[in-house]
Amino acid sequence: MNAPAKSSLNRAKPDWGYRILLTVAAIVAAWLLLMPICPPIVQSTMQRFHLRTPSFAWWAIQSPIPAMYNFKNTTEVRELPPSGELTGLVDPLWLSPLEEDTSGLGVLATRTINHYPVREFTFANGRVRYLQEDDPRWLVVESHYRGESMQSTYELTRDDAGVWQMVLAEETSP
Amino acid sequence: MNSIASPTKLRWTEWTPLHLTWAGMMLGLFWKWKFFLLADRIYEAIPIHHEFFPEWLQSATVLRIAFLAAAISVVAAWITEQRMRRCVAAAVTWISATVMIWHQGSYNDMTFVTFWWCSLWAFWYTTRLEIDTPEELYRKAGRLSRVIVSVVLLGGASGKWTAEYWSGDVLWEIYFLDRDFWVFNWLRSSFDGETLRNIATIYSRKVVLVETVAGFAVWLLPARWAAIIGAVVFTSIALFSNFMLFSVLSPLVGLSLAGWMPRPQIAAEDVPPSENQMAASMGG
Repeated sequence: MNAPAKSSLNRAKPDWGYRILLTVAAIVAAWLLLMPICPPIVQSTMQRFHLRTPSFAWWAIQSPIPAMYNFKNTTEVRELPPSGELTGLVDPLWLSPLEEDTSGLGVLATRTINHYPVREFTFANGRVRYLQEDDPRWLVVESHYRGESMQSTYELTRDDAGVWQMVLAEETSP
Repeated sequence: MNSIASPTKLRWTEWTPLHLTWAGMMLGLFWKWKFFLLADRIYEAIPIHHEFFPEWLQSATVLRIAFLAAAISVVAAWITEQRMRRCVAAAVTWISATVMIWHQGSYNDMTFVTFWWCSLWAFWYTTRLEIDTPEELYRKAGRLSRVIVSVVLLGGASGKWTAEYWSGDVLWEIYFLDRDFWVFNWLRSSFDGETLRNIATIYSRKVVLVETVAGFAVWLLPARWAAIIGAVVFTSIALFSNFMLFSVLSPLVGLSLAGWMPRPQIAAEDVPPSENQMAASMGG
């Protein structure tokens, strides 16, 4: 097809795809640039990272927003529930009388993670590392960004069919 | 008669930007092929049910199909000569990428986010091939490439505009403490604890500044500068942080290079003979 013919065809067919793509990119850029000064955007992104967005549709819409190495995210994998829930589960005789803090009890691993901290269980390598046995597991994840933070605790138990049931055990946003 | 055949020159055509982006996408998709194969077996063996995700987005089979559909559709779009089939194949790539950024087993892997943006760009490009003039197509494709590259870099930067990254705390804990990678192994063996911690701060600030400056600047740069800077920045991130990041960054290297704007060419037959002779006589 020669150039003049293409030009006339071009004029006949407006490039809506180009305009839509530019608009989508502009909206995402605005979202990212507003994040440092707009706590609702931070909270929305933290909910996205913690898989706690109120609706899956809203989470899915946000999923193309690039978020490489965003926030300070930490994970704690436990074989016992977090300390607040230990009452009645742990015999006081187990605890050292000199050690009042029980937060380290039952912790299998802690680490800082680049993004989406719940992947510690959902992604392949975390499943192999922590879900090989039948015992329940807890995952405590935290995210911090410019004074905003979010903590979530997940409990995983294996059902009779061998499927791990993952449930949000605690919802706190300090 | 000249018996020596002249060497075939690599020519930049309307297909080149698309092929560069597809090549980057395929490299990214298969960079961690062994890991993805292992992951597929793990998702079958250790299933997790989480109410948050729709049932079908927790299925290992769905993820497997989406991954294979993405790869096959890129190849199909590349080799087909029929415009409509090419557009459909490119759309399938984008739909597969969408499934992968939503799926329980792959949502967290930024490989699929960069693949998603590149597949969207590639789909748009296929819809304009044979419609736009080459110059118009290069101009729009280059601008979109620069805008997407900027947005991805801004995505990395804005989440790091926080004290934990400026102090180096986060990258200290992720990379410097025990990451088995040539840069960090060498730094640990060469410097003591306090110096190493200071290097982590400098390293982290460098990452924040490079992503920020590049994120704000790339979309404003001339096409060739943007193409080179984008490719260099993304390649250097992987070379100095983690080779696995090539799965995330290869599609973006391809997309950056796709924004390269070829110099306008004047066909020899369009130039009057008198000008040809003049150019020859002047050594031009």
